[in-house]
Amino acid sequence: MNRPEIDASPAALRRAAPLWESLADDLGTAGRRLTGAHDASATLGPRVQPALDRFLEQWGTSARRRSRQARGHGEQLREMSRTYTALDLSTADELRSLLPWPSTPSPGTPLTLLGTSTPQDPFGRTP
Amino acid sequence: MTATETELAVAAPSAVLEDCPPPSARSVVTAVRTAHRIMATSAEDAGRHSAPPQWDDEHGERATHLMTATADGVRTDAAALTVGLGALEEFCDRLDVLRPEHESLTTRRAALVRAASSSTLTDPDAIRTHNHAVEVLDTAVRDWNRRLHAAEDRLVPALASADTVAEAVSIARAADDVTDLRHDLTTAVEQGPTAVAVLWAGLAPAAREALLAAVPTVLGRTDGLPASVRDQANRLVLGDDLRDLRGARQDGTLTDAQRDLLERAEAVEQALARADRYVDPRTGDLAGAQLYVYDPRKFGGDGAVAIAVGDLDTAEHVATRVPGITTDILDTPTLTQEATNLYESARTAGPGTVASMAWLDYDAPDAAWDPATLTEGRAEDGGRRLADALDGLRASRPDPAHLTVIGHSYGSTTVGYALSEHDPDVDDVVVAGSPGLGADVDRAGDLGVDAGHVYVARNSRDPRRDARRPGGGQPRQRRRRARRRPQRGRLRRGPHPRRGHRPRRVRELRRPQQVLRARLGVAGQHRPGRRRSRRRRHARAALVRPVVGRAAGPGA
Repeated sequence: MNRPEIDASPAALRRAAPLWESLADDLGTAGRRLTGAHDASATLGPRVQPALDRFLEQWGTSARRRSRQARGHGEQLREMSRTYTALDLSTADELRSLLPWPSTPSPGTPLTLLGTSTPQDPFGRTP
Repeated sequence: MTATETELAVAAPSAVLEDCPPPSARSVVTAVRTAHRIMATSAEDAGRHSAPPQWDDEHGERATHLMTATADGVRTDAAALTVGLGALEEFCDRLDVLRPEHESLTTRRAALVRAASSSTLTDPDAIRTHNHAVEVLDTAVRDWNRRLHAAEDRLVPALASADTVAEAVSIARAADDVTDLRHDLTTAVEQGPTAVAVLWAGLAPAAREALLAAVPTVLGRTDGLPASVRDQANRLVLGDDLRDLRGARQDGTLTDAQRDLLERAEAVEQALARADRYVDPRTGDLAGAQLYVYDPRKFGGDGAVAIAVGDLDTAEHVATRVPGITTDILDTPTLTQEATNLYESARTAGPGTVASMAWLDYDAPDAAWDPATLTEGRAEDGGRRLADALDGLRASRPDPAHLTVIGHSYGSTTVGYALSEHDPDVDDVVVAGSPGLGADVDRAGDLGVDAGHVYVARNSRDPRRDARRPGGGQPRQRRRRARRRPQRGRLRRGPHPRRGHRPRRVRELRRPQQVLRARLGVAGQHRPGRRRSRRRRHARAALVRPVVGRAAGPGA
């Protein structure tokens, strides 16, 4: 069985991370706005407040949860990027030691482990 | 204690005025609006990096793609916020109207409480005056409390309809389908009010909410929709107009055109606020008002408006009154007051629930000397609009109301065209101060209502009783009476000794008509009192109307 492959350079991973981080920031702001509105819900009167609190609680919580998730995705991408880069460097050293000397790339040259084609942005953007 | 002493006791206000939410309550709206804008933008941004909606998801790639799932989720949350935001904005708009009244009532109440607790009131007349003021205040306080509750009763269910994930998903799905829904609605509108009513009845609540949020302007003018829906949509549009224009005024960026627009919108706001406060004389409850038509930009800025007192969706008796020349949207407060008066008269005259609507969704001529007054192009166009509105009122209700149409002045000509050319289902017709009911109406029977259900009211001193237009017919009984009077001779004698130059106005009305007839080469063809065959009338109408339109210019 063929395992699915993905061509993604560490640079592509690093470019994707800010998308999630920006989303996390925006959703966090929206959540805080709704929480702030929650604090002022009493000003609309006792008959309105319970319904308004439920409404604000629901969507404020949801926005904050989505913000946390987005933040986590961004961090995950950065972590993957760091890991792959470290893996590249350690694998390169190992390969360099195994390859015949004329084929040995110069030290410090990163190797692409996940394919030889042009790296693709996982989110469809051109690098 | 004697009865007299009891009557003379100093009364204190008994009705408790409830608290009015402070202006700072609007901060909630501001916060929700900001959160909504951020989330809508975030959903859009994430959507740009998502799998396309039409992706063939055979392997479940789209379903597991986190950016796509996040975009969908945020879009769903934003859709729920849209519903709550609209309801909150409407509520705060209502509070803006209620708040100054609350301050006034508070001041008046405090003064009356002070007076009642002091020992200064000893004179019987002063005590009676004071007690009457207390009674008036208590009524006003109860009315204010009722209006606050009515506003709350609109907001709370709206918030509750969008406070779970399932509801939000439903709303968002409907929002995604809004394009299709709009297409369906457009198709139904082309088919007529009945098709619109059928379509609306078949929509899920979430789809209705989505349409309301997306296209309130369209819903507010669509015949065949329940009046409550049109009211909700038109109030949203009115609220948006007022917010935008007042914001521009506050910023100092209001243009002259916007100033005029704001004046028109505020006229409607004022009329609506007053109608909202009106209390049914039988039940003591709020009668309720509905903004059935609202378009302050229509007809070159004259605007279109219709406000009903009572519930058009459920009332057993529904009256639609069409005003005449010189009326435009700035007259909405007066027209609505007249509708309220009619409501009150009808309610006290007999049993049954009532709705009374002032309908001005046609371009009424601007003045007696407006060329459009002398022709019937606007009445003809208005007649078509009126017939559509009447068909819409019929179609939107499962149970038929007793429907009466009332036309005043040029409005009666509009009514005549609506009934004679479009045949809406109307039970009774009343025309007052009518200059004629259109080219095809020579007898009451031409209006298509049952015998004995056409009523003509006129003032013997009304100059319009003699006014006729080229092609303008009148109910037969009027013509007979008109022939008996030597009106032309009297008019030519000059100003009336008591009424001054008013008869001259009739002559002014006549003269251009004679000129028009001469131009058209139809002078002498129109003989009041002579019954023409329907075929001849149609032939004549075909001859006259297009030429009249040209003679009167594009504004006719």
